[in-house]
Amino acid sequence: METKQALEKWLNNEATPADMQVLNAWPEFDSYKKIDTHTKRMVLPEHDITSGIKALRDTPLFNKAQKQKRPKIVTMPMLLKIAAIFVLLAGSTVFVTTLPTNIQAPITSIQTIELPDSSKITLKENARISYKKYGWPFNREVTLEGEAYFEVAKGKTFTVRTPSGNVSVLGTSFNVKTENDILIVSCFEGLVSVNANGMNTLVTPGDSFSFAPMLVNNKIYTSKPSWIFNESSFVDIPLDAVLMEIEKHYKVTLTTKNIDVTLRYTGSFTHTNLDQALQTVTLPLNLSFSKDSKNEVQIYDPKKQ
Amino acid sequence: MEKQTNICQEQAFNKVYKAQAQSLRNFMFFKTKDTDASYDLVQEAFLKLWQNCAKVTPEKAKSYLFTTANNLFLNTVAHKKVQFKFTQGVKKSQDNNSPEFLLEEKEFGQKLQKALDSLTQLQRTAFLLSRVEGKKYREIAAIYNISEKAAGKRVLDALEKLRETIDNL
Repeated sequence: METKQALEKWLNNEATPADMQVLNAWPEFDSYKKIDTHTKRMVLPEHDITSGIKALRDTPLFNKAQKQKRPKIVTMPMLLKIAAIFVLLAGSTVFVTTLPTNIQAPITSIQTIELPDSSKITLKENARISYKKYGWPFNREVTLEGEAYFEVAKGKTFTVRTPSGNVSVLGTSFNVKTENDILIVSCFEGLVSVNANGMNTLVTPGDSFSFAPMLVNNKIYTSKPSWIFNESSFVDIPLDAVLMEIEKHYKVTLTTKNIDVTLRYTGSFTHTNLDQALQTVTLPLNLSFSKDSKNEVQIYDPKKQ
Repeated sequence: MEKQTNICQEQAFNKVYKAQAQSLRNFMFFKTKDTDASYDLVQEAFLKLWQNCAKVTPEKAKSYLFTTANNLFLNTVAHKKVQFKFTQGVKKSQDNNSPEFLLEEKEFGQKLQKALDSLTQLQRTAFLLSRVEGKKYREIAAIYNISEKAAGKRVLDALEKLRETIDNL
């Protein structure tokens, strides 16, 4: 039993000197030693690491396993990143290009703005336009509410969208007035094409067309709309309509005394001076006016008094 | 963020191969007694490791390889009859290289060969792992997933059986 334990330790390279003494005294130990020495001379196959790895790499199964793993670990997140960049780029481009610029003139004064191609728009009080700054040279399109005077630089078709119709030009000066359902286009230079009520009308310089609610043709005699110079101008308009304009502008009350208010008036009045305005309207018609302290004005015919 | 070392990376896999291929080859050789068969089994075991690289940590790689190789061996059908080879013992003294001595050596080698054949596959492999590879009982126990004591007994039993067989030849 003692020898067996010693032998077991010896086989595990853990024999103590005492164990060796026991073993060496044991006659059969020589046989065991002989088996041991002889066994240790066994010829082992040498495993070549380099060629072994290479042989593994050449196995179809090996490459298959590798290919299956690669896309999972590396390529998928990369694809997602690229996709995300494209989505962001596309999204922001759409956002920027569709974002319109909105401009509204102050209630009390006119405002002139210059477009990217040096076209000019003069907005009348409280008029509002919106247009797309991005890609302007390729898409000259303005949406208008109110009244504005356009001086368009030469280039692609310039379009003004209004609720009552569209006005297109190539390069010209024109005035567009919209108010409720009214659309009045006056051409000062070049040629203006108006598409309203399903009809296409060409407006030549010196013409002023009222398209809605009904088609009316008027002549203009100024080089620019009169409101640009702080004036109101009239061509063959009944006197009472002119007087109503003065009331509106100066916030005064006008009364008439033994006057024919159906008299036709052609001319203009200034917006800056009430006395001057009254004079320019009354003098050509041989009328007079009197003013009291309460902003009440009376217009009369001096001959009939 | 640092990536955890994974055998799926080529470098890590090659490192495992370098460290384990030879000892795995010996293990398979003790079982099969066949140079070519043992080579195939080793390569197959590493292929399995590569295919399952995501599930096996570098620490577990060794035991995975030995278990896999052992299973692969059990799946193979019995091979052609092959025998171990031993080198000639080199002795310092001239006397020991005498014809008598060489003859005796050769005879003993043949006897040992037969004795090894008479051992069960488990006994033989355990014994050779211990003697040729110089593995401790603890390491053998780990390979077979048995206790250290059982491993020691397996080696000792093999040695005693070898001696008995050789004496009776």
